[in-house]
Amino acid sequence: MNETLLSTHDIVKHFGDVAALAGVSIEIGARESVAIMGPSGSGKSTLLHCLSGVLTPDSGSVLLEGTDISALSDAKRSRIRLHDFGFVFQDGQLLPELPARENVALPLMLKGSPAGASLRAADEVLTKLGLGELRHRRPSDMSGGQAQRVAIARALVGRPKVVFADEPSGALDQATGHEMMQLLTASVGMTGAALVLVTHDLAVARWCSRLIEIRDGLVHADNPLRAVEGATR
Amino acid sequence: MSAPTTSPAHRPPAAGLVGLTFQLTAARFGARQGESLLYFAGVLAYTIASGLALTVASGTLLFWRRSEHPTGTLAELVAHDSTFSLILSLYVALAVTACALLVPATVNLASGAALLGARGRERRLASLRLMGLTSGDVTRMALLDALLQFLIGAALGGVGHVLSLPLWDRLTMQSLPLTTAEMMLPAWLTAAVIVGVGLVGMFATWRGLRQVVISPLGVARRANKPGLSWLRAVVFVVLLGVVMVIVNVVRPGSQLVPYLVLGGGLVIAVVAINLVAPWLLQLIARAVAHVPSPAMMWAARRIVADAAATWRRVSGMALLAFIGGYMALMPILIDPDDDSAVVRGFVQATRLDFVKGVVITLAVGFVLTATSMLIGQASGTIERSEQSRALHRMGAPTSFGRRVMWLEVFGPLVVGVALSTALGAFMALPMYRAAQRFQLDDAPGLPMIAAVLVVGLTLAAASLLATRPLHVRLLRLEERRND
Repeated sequence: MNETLLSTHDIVKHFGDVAALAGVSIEIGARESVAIMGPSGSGKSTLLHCLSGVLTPDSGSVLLEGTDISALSDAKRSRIRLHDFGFVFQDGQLLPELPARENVALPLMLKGSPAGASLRAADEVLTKLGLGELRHRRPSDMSGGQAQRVAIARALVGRPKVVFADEPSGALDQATGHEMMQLLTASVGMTGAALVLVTHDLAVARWCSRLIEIRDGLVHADNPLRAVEGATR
Repeated sequence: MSAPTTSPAHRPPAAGLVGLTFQLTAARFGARQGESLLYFAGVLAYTIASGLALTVASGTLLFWRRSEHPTGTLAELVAHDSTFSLILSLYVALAVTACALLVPATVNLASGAALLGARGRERRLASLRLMGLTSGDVTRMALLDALLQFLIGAALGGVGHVLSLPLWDRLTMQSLPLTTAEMMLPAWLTAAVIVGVGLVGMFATWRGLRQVVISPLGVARRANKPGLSWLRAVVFVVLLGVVMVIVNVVRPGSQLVPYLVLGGGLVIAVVAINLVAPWLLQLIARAVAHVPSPAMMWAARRIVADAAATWRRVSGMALLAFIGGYMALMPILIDPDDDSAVVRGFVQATRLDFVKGVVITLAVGFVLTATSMLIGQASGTIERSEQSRALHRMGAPTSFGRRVMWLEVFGPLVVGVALSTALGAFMALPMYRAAQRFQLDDAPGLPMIAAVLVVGLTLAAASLLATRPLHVRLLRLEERRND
């Protein structure tokens, strides 16, 4: 594993009386791709949300390059997510009223980049990912696979250190999901970011270099994976 | 095994659907997921819409009764000079006009009530589709659900209306107090008003359901709405021309007919504004979408995506601004040649009647519009909650969504209010000039416009601020997914 980029130390998270995470400690290296798997209710999405600073653990810490982000205020964690992380959600979550290029440019504009430069950067990323012809289309005029590809472009446009993907192919058919994972792993690899994805599908997990299995809020197994054919990692 | 299908033979009986709808409604209250709050907000909207519709109908009926069967001072007046029956008819015409002007705000409120929390209901309906109910079955269930809310709201609104009747006794119009007996609606008219409001709500629910596809796999929004045609602007210009001809040809005086024609012109102008305003908003928003600010960009794109819906949100307030603009310059003065005591006494006692009528109309409109905006914003905040949470996860500042909301609502509001006020004043200008020639300077004047704008915008701001806690609560909702 490369130098540790992101790590959790004995994190515990409860929802009411239920312990979603019961003491998880993991380390994720720069440029590493990690799949988190587990049965329903195991705590895998909660782990992803704690890693990305969306949720704060009840106890334990989450370190990004040595900084405990779980101890930061909501506003500071938001800034970290905006500047250092990229997100791909299960159903894309593109803003329905914006055309693809404006959806992709939005994170840059929120960071304070000028609109013109943000839109040019968005066009560049979309073209690189082979999505140039979708630039002016709104999400409702795209297929699920196309929308998810645009969501990948949005996650990568700010050159994040880590890309988090929550069931990124969950809403797609197998063939489209396969193509989407190929694009995700290849493009994240090109930018040099780490990839952390949550899935319940082993075929999707096989696109990553490492598999962490969560059961009952604990790390059940943590093993390297041999990347599938076609993946760049 | 084949997929479950629902043939006509297996379709659940209507009584079964009613029972299931009631069971699901009861379950919503039991689940304690905030849905009961939405349910009560819908009931509140129907309560206000029904109560105010009944009150406005009562007022109109009162003037009609006095016109048809004048008693006391009014009977003396008509006996003295039969042309005064025309003045009494004028009150009826103005009351009907006020009703017509309040219809859009009432429709908006009933529509808002019907669509409030529709997303949550749609998800449940999708689950029912998965269990084998047909599209028609789930539509009927949604209508039953809305009907139940409406019936509760209408009952409460009816009770509120009856309880408020004695309060009107303190107000005098046509030199007489508005008595409870005169304001009491007959049963048939009460039923007609309630059925009217109910039909608006049911139609809005049905229309709302048509905008989504509820399949067993979930809920999908129908494709983008097409852009609005420039032909709206052409029709607007034509209608405005008609109105300008009317106001330039017709001269106000002591006759009834000119006022009726002018009232018709006013209605045409309202229709014209409702036609052109959404198109104009879309045009402006398209230009604003290129402004280099992410909040401005998204707000403008949201307006472009459904300019008609944006206009519906602000049209009630814009209509009030139009009335304010019109009434500010419109001279209404009954100046009889007759110098008898009964006539002089009547004219003196009714000098402020017109202003009172305008103030009552504006007050009713404000209540309808404020409730409508509050419900619309709450509904929109809930509908966009997943999107807002996704943006929050991406690191967008919490204030970003709020800025977009203010821009999306306040931008069109300012444009709509400014346009409507100017148009209202413009329409009344010829009569104002004519009145000045006759040295009649009885127009309420600019302070009324200022009051309408200040109260309207303050109410809009209060509506938006009231939804802020809901927005924050939804963003911070730490719900555990099935992870």
